[in-house]
Amino acid sequence: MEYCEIITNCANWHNPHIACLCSAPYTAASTSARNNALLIQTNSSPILVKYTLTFLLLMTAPVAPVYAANAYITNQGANSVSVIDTARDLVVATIPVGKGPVGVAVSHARQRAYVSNVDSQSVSVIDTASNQVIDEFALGGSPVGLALNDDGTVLYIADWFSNQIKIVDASTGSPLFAISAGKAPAGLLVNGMQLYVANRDSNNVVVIDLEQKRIVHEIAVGEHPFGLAMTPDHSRLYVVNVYADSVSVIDTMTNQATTTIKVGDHPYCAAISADGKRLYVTNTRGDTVSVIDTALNATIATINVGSVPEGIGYAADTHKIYVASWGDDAVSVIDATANKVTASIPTGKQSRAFGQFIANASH
Amino acid sequence: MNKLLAIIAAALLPLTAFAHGPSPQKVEKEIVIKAEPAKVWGIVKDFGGIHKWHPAIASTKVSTKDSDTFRLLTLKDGGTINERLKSSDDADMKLKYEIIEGVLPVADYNATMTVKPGPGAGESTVVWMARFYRVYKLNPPIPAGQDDESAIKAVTGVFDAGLPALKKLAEGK
Repeated sequence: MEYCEIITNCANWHNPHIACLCSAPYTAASTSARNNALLIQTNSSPILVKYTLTFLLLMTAPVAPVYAANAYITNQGANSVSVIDTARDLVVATIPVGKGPVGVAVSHARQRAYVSNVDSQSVSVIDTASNQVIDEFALGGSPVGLALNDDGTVLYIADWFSNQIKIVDASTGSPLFAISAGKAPAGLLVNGMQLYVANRDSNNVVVIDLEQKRIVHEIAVGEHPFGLAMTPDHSRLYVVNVYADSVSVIDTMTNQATTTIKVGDHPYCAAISADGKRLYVTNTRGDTVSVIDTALNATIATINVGSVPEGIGYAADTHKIYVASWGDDAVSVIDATANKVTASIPTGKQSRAFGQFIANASH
Repeated sequence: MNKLLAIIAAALLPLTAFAHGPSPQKVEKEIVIKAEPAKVWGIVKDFGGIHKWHPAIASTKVSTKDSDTFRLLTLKDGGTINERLKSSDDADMKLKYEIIEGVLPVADYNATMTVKPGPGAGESTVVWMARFYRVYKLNPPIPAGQDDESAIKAVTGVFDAGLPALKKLAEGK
């Protein structure tokens, strides 16, 4: 009996009665090989397929009725980006990029994902329609944090060793200007014509006016701020303070830090729910995610996730939260309605996904 | 175009064209032990008993301060390592600790030892993972022994020596 190593031309995975072409047939003599195989009835003859978890998931996953964004996960130890289809919670592509990728920023409108290759000192540009690298911007320095403006035309890069924010044309990589930030700038967040920068070693957030091209406010926060998140109505900015095990809440109208929320051990990043009511924070040494009620400004739940959780993103269309697990080389998926982990998706070594890595249609 | 950008970038940062901070490093090792998870966890969770199995450690001294527990390891080769217990979870069979100071060429070292049942019946898998940075946090040139390679090599040595010894102890009568 023939078995199949590689299935091709199998466009309709959801219907097992459509024939798939076997491009790598083999004869498996052993019982264990047969036991590992799965029988599909086809129009012509049965084909035995090598069993994979992917295949099972494809068979059982419902066709998503709404747009479900891809998530772009940087794997710092694998020099690659894992692309996750958030409708099926599967890796659909693994893209080789530069050395030591960490930061990521995605534009749904322009179909681009940008990844900072810290060790290559560059940014890789990915066409999200084809999931291919189409360009690499050589930058020098130590590019880590990335952000895009609302229409995806301008890319902001935090160089955490030169304490500068470099601003480049997102299409060509042409430098537009650079602004001194504080010490060791990390998280970036664009809000209209303002850029917020978390300065890890200054223990502050600076507000840069992008028209005046200068810092217009400096806001003291907790110790070692790293990740940033903002409510959908732009009224509040959340700053994750790594050494203080806390989140600072900033009123964006007054540019004042109004309160501090206790979270878990050595928190790094945060993501806001689509309705702004919940903030999710990764605790890298607690292996948990803290769930914050943004009206109460308090942690209301703690979810066990993968080892050393870092980057976190909220998929608006499916209300799932994706957490890069640096320790597990995987992504934990949380159902936001239940506050429970529903899947762990293997990605690549030392997944980080620092930044806005989900191509939500409503940015 | 990229060459031009590189020149511009270098001109913007004349002194820091090669600036690069340290990246977090990972060492992860695992071993399968032919002993019940409860038994293996009993050995692993004994924070002050690591010298009973790790061949590099001559003695362990446990101390407490406020709500923290520390262990001072004295190495057979000389030198000490002071570690703080972060958590010990019986349900997850997970031990977390960090290095406060010591002779290992690492910085910000956090480690987790986890005992999992399986793969087979009556077996356990121990996973030992550490996240750390190299000692030297500034610009290159990096002094000898303070680079990423030295850090990784040292931690790998600790795990490679320890896990087989843990296995031997757990499998013994």
